[in-house]
Amino acid sequence: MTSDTAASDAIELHDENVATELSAIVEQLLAEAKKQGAHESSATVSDSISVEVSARERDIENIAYEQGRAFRVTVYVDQREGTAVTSDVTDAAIRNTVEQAMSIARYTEADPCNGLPDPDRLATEFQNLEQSFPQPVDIEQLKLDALLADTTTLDYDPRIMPAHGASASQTETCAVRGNSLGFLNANRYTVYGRSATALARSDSGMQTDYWYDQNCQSECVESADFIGRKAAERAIRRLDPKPIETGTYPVMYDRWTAPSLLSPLLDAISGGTLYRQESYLQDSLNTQVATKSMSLREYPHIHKRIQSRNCDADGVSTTEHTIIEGGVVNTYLLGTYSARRLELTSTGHAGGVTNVHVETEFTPIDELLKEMKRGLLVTSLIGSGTNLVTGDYSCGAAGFWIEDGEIAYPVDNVTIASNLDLMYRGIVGFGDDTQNRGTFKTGSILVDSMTVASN
Amino acid sequence: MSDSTAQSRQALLEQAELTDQDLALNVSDMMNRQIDDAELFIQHNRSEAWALEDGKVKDGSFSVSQGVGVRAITGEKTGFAHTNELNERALRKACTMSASIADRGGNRRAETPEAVPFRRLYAGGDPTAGVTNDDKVRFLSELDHFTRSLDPRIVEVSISIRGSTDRVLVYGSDGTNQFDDRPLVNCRIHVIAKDGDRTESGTEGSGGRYPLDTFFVDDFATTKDMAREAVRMAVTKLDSVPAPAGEMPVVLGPGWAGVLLHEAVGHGLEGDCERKHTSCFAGKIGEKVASELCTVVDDATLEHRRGSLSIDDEGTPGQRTVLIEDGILRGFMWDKHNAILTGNQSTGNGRRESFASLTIPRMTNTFMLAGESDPEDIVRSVTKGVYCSAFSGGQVDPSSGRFVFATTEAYLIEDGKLTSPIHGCMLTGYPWDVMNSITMVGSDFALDPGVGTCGKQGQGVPVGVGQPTIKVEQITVGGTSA
Repeated sequence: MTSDTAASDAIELHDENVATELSAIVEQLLAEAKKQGAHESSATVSDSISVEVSARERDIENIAYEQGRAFRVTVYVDQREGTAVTSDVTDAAIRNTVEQAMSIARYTEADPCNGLPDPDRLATEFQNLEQSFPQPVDIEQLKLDALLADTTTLDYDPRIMPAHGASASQTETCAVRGNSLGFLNANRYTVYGRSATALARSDSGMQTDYWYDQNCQSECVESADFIGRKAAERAIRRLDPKPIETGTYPVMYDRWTAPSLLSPLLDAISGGTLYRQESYLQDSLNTQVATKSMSLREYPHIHKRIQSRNCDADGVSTTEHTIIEGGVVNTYLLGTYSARRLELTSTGHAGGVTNVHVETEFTPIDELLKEMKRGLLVTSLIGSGTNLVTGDYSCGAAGFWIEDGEIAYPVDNVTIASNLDLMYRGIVGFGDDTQNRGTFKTGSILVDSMTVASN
Repeated sequence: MSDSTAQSRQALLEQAELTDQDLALNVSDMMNRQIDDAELFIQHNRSEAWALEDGKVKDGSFSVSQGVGVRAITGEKTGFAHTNELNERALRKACTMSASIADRGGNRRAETPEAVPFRRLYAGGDPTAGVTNDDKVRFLSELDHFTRSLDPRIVEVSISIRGSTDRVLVYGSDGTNQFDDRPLVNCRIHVIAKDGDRTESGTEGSGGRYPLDTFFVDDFATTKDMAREAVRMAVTKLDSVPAPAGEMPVVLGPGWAGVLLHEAVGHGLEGDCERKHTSCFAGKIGEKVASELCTVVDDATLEHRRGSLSIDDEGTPGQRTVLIEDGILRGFMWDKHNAILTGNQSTGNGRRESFASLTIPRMTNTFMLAGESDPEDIVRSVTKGVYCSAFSGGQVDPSSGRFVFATTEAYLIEDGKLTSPIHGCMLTGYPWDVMNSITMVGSDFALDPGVGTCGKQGQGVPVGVGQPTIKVEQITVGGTSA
């Protein structure tokens, strides 16, 4: 054993100066780009540290410590673009990385849409979005959390078998973005997470499910025993599925699967999809594409949310948008490049959306089920069968058969299929059971009719 | 080790500012903390990509990813630390972190693996070296013109080429000291066809562990074939009709359709599922799990293939493993850790996305061997069903075994003949039902063109699949036409 062991067992998290340190590297990259002849450039440097502990069969299984830093530099020479990325963090790497980006820019073709955002679009005001709540790593506490989540899962029901276990993790990231127009923004955020998987077994076979939660504040993450119980409960309720008859039925996406129903709509009105002519919603601005009762509004600056941000990946300021208003496309989602391609202006969506809320008249979930009467409640989706070009939609699904507005039995191994256009227009209700774990804030969503295929 | 391989290994160490003594000393210090097994994985990956879109070679990127991953194992426990800082101090810190898992002391030392001679299945070095940047740009532009000239209905073309070289050094307390230099290239052509109010897309790609100039030879002969294929697919689909829904006979074409096997049986036969009893195949060695027409193997030893590995990421030579033989389950795919815990031997399937990920058992090239049926007879035998020739991918829940895979090109079969092309749709089933209802296996075995990436626990690794034409008597087709 070496003498320094005890001391270096402690995990070093970012110190106060990390943003200053990374900002200096960004400025070095930009200066080097200028020196090598770039007319414009942008650079990003990120550094993250994370610890994840997993437990399985009531014992600790893995402890993983991760530390990673990466640079990315994009240079523009006469509207020709080159990008280089490296995880080599030595001083020589700065020069080499810029050289590589420059060598690529020498060979790519000029594109008048290339280049940094117009200076007046760059974010100048930076609210403290309160996304960073660092705390020292308490490895013993992470172990206890992972063990508790695993144990709670296993103790929930005799039909629960040891499977993939549970985990607890903590991550700290600092990312600094800058460009040659003088834009410089440092962002720090923390992510605390807990998860559990459960395997349930009965005579008819095995079913797995999982549960997780994450938050930038440690104390806001759902407790380890709650996570463990929830995973077990979800696996148990899927046991002993029954086949159903292939046919056309109402389909309700529960509140956890509802985001995957909505996200293709946003993909279809995103700049990249549109300028490549890969969207079934080409030329859809100001046209009706979904039910009149649905609006989608984006709130980029909600405090203490991992998804929030002051500016997009180009440095363009983010603002509140009503993306879909009463089923009508109110704005496309554009970054700097895609906006120029479409002869529009950036909406601050390089890198995607932030917090998107469904705004509608919500129906109490029990009433919505009653309204549905008979059909499929989807609680889990598998496979990606969405074709944005045509709108064709076909996805593997599992959930519950609804009879007289109540859960009758679990259903597994079915596909649900339709066309996105019909589906969004065919939404007939939104449950009041809203959740807000990821990008979307939404309740369950009822679609009037889809083809359900079963064996 | 050949001279060039030895030089390449030495260059990697120098880049990492490490010496062989540093590796030995750090591993022995870790072992002094009473763990069973210690392993260092040093990696340097360099890749470049060029993309054409809207008639312009507008995107180019170059990336370097390097670092060291340190693993310490005590019984079923694993300590893992990684860093992209490469020097002795950073290595020592990662080793200390990783070995802190040894909280209760271990005593089951991993046995030294037998030194098995192995073949290098691909040449090391930079696969893009033989091609100048001018050549790459000219290639993309000419191919763009060629693709657009094939059909007036083509409105968008995007083409990308990528080449990478991945050098890895595995150094373990069990005596492992292996080096591999893995090239990987690919080319992808994506087109959009428009006719009236119909729009459809077509994609074709190919790749493997060979020099990038393979795509350039004979006046781009192979890539022009790819372009023809992408255009044919998009244009054909302009006339597609809604896919049927429900259970019916399905004929899967040769090659890439092997993604069915990858999802239906492959993942369930990875050793971690067997050890943790989370697979529907766990404990079923020697039992009949598929129709007797089915023999499925995982083979890392095919030269130049995308999924091939001279050595895996634990330094074990790549192997050919029979998984299912004439319908009987014969074996699982193992990495060292899961193999040791279950009294098995590694089959060379220990893989990781990079130094920053933990090694887990993964597939390499997984395929079904040829049968005896004439592929045309197979289609002729179906009165009403679906023929699928292209797929975008699939997914599986290994415990229930339920899998899905999405078709991108498919046709109705009516009275033994292919008729209308149909919209893309999902197929879904359980391995038991599907593998046992394979009633015809064609003689036209083919591997996929080298485009597959498999994702598991968030880690993507390049893989291959393959199969002859097969007939599945009953599988659920997820169309809209009920």
